Amino acid sequence: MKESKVLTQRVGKYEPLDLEAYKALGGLQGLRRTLAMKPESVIEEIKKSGLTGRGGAGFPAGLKWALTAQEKQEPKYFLCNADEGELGTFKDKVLLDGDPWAVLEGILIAAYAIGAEQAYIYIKGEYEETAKLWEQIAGEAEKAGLLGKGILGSNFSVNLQVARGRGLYIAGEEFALISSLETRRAMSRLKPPYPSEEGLFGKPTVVNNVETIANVPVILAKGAEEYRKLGVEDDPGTRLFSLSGDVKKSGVYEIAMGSGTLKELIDEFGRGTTHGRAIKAVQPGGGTSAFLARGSLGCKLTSKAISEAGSGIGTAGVIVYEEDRSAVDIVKGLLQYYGAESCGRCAPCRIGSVKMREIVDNLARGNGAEADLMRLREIGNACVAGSTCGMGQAFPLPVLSALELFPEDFEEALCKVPA
Amino acid sequence: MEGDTGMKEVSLEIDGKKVTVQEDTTILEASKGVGIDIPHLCYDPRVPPIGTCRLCLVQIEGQAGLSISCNTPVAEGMRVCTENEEIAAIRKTILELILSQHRVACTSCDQEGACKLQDYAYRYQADEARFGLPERRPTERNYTTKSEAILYDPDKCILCGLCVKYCEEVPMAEALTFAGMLDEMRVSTAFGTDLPESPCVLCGGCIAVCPSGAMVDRAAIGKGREKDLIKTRTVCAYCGVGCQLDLNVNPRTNKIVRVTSEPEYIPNRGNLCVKGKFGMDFVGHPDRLTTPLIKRNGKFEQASWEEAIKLIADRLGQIKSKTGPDSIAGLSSAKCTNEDNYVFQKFVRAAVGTNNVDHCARLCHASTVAGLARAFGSGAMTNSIDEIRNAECIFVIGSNTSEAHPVIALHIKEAAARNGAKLIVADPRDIELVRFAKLHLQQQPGTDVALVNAMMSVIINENLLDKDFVKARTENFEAMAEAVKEMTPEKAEKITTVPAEKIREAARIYAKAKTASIIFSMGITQHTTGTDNVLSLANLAMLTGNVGKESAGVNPLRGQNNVQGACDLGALPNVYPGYQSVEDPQIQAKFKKAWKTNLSGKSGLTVVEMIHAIEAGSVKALYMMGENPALSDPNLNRTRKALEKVDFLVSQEVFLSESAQFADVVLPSLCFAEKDGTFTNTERRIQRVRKALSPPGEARDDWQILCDVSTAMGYAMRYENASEIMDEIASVTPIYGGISFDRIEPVGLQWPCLDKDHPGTKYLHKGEFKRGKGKFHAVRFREPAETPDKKFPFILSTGRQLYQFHTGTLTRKSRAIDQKSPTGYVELHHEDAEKYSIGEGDFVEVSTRRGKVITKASVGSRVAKGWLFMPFHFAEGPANMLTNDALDPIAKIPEFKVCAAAIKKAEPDLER
Repeated sequence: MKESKVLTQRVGKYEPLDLEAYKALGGLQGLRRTLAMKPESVIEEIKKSGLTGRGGAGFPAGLKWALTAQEKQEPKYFLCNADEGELGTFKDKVLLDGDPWAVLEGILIAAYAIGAEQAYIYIKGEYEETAKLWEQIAGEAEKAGLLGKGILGSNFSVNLQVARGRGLYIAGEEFALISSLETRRAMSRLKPPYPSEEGLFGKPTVVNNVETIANVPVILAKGAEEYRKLGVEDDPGTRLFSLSGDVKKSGVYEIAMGSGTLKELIDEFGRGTTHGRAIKAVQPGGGTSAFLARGSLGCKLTSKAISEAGSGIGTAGVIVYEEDRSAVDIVKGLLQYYGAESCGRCAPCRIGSVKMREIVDNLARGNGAEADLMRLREIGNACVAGSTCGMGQAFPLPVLSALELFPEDFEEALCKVPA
Repeated sequence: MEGDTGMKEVSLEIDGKKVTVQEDTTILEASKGVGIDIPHLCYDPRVPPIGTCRLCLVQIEGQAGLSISCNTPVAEGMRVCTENEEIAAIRKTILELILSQHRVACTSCDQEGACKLQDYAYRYQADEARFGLPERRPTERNYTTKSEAILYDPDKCILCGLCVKYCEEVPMAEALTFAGMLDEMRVSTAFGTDLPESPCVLCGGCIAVCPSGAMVDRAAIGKGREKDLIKTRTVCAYCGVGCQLDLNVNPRTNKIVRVTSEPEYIPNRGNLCVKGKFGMDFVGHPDRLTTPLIKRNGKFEQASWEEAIKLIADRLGQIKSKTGPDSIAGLSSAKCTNEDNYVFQKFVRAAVGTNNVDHCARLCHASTVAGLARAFGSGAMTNSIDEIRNAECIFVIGSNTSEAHPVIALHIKEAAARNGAKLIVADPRDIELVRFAKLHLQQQPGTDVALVNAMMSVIINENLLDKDFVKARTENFEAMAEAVKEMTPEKAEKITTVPAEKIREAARIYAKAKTASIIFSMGITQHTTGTDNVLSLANLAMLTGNVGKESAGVNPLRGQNNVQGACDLGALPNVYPGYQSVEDPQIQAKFKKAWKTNLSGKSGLTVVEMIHAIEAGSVKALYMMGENPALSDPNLNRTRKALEKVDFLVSQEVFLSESAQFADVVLPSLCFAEKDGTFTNTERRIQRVRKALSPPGEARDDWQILCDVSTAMGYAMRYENASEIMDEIASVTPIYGGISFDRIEPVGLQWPCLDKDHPGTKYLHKGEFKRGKGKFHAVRFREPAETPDKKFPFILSTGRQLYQFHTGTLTRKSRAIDQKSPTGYVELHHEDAEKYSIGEGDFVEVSTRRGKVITKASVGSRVAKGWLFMPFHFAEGPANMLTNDALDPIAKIPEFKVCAAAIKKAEPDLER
């Protein structure tokens, strides 16, 4: 198994502010081709490429653009979601820092395609250096005629605003991000209407993840057909896998879809587990994805195969756990984070996330009772079925799957002292 | 299939029941329609779904996962299951989670018995301790701690956000928001500002929509729970909108505990304003009059009813025989019921024998009645309130709707902010509606004819008129066209100060809209050119064909709860009930027959003329029912002198008002909450007023008192109840011909309603005007009676504000209102304030040729430079000491809106 460096081809190859170096390494070809095309044709090209969202939900990118472009309301907005908050996920940072011009090129192409004259990039609060870099990139781009009026001599104009998160996980959810940009409280909203209909300031808006948008210049530069040569039919292209947890070598690896298995990724790129112990479980799609037990690790690295194994590819953040860890402790760690991040909109998530954290903390302290396990299932089910946004629907999944896969860990944690 | 709204109908199956509804209906609403009650805590039909409680989940066949029914539209062939084991389990868990954060205090909670959370917890047998009991948080300060009106208890709040959404979507006040995260999350104002200092307008909507008892009427705490209270549906006693509300009375204490309303009520959809919601303290107030009072040696003494009535009958009888019936005058009341007004005018006309009967409509919409009768043949709102929401263009001129008719303003704001209507606001002040307007024309007070004529000259010049309508439906077009020709936008700019280009734009927007509705109020009527102003607006509507159809018309907003009814029922000196002329011999004959007595064929005196006639000595006795001329009339010094001078003054009142204090006999009467009867609202809807509690002391219904006085004077009048009076009204009043208490029981009826089978009339002049052809009038601009000069360099206007009503007799008894609006003020522009070294809140002396008052300064940019505004509600600093009693020659309405004034900084009057 080997890496297929498409999005990361230039990472580390040039000084991030050096636009000329970017051009020399083949940059801006996608944009130049785009500006010679009709916006509809650009969208068509993205549709043909089969590109899906890399932020976790996997929605077809071309369709999202088309839905927004067809809206009659003006103006339209493009938002690049760089608020990478999922646990075990740090791949967007590699692109933002290592090949920022490619991300910018993608943003320009998207804005052109949907007819937006104002674009935003919303950068995770903790990525301070990245945000500083992007302020500079925006300035350089303006000087170089890549932002502002008449880009590269065309009739196309767009401005970019670099916005900062303030450390809220939920601000990575598209509507919470939109609310935050509107200077409101970062809260999810009811859908429909979707952002394509009523997004930022009530206008049609596309929200794309950084990795998604980094694919765009590639598709436009070499054409959808060429792009599809990597990956598999229903999952074309590559993905950036963030590998972390109990592995010897964590990092971000760009793999063509379907070109290897989860086990191979861990063994070959991660060089095996930290202490050489057997793997207990893996979260293949970030901290809110369900656990896969040791027996499922032979599954191919495609969305479909991972779903069929019982989890989801999500953000492709692969977190590995060795066998000496207790599922109770793992879940406790996850809830430490997710149990404090609900936006508070939906009753089950707002209250349930805190309650689950309290119950698991109690279990981990050895004070749990049998009924607590039932309570965890009840809350988990209510959140998954009854939440508006991805957070509430997903954060209980590791807990529910741990109860399913490792019941003995929970049994063992129960209070043994008779009441 | 397409209905008349152009909306398709779809059929689906819910829990095995076949349902057919419009395509934009949600599953939740469709289920409600067939009696399937899907649980929900955050749905309200007045706001878009927010879907935060997640209880309304349902299973749609063929779809993965569950869907929330409040935000999922129906679809053809859809099959929905609203509850199965999985859904019930999830609902129970969600409720148990909510209960883990809700302090279950049902034993002492005001919401007990009317609490959705309690109902669902019971239905699903939710265990309140399943996920632990909430920690009792020490009572902490929140944004309502200092509010007299509302109390918010975060320990009971389930954070559904419905109050936040309502505040944003309905009053559009955006006073509420969320603060804090997770366990610390709360509803609050921005930055936790105290409610009285926030943008909250005290509509009480947050209380109404709260599903868990977290927001309550502060004054109602501990005064009665749902099961202790009796709800009586009646009509609000304040403005002319006619909001339907429920008085929640505790029969044990005979007190109104709180006021509520329901989303299905017409015309207010369960929405209220501060006055309807928090302004009912006057009803059971200790200052209410409880026995008749007779003034002896300058002091009131309690008297028996027999004694008081005999005295009145004797004195009126003496005056009548000595100086004739025309030396007696009666002021009827727009606050009293239709039945009271009918009996009052019958008493004056039949028992006294004069047409000297009028009421305060003279001071608000006399010019509307006169103007629209001349142009269209009928002086009332042409359309229904509900039609405003669908108008393409709304032209609001001289109406500060948000403050004077707040619930109608909700319709206007909804039209502009949500339905894409183009709102044009013509008002000298920067009023709240301007926020929603496409154009604000800030005309100088008293220049409306110039503004409207200029709009018409643009419409004619640019050929934007509706020629077919003008030809087929109107007459006298040429004379009008000739009159407006000279008023170019440039000329109008010089007179009105509105830029010519804005006038052109307004004319184009108005003329090009498929439906354009004019809304006006006292900014148009209270001028010496009031009738001209109204005629101009009628001209504008006819010129563009915007009358006689749905959502387009000329709509005067009536000020008092029953000013429409008081006019309809003939409390006017020139007409019998139903606007039938007293000077028409045939009509006179009809009433002679009906009332079995001789009647005067001479029109009587109007309000201000009565005062002048007392001054001149020709009127010797005045009988007032609920009027307060000593505060409401212009040039108060003159009015008060007359009240002092008149030989015999009777006042039928609920409080010893400023005017009642001048009376020789005061008779205690009932307020709306103690009466049965009807009010007619501004959209001509006759609605039932229902008795909710027993009256104080010996107070009696107005019509009963009048019957007794009349009978004692030798003209016998006797009715069993208000319903019987309405039957008599129907028999002599063609436009009320089909009205009876039975028929109006559910939602009222809009006149004209000619007979028992007539469905009432939604909008007027369809196909044909009441007078046949609509008549254009050639109206030319005239200056107001008084214009600024060196000595009095400012233009002063008076009017209303949101929190108070009229002379404040009723609203100033409410603590919630008093907190928000404690006293009067004068609005002035900050540059003028600087020039006179006046700061916000400083005392200012405002003077005119008629008097001077001291009041507080409210400095800002709400009025333009050189203009002043004063609300007239306050007995301290009464604005009507200053106003001009110059009259419109036709309607005899005084010019409250324009007079010349001077200001200077003053020292506070320590006496007060």
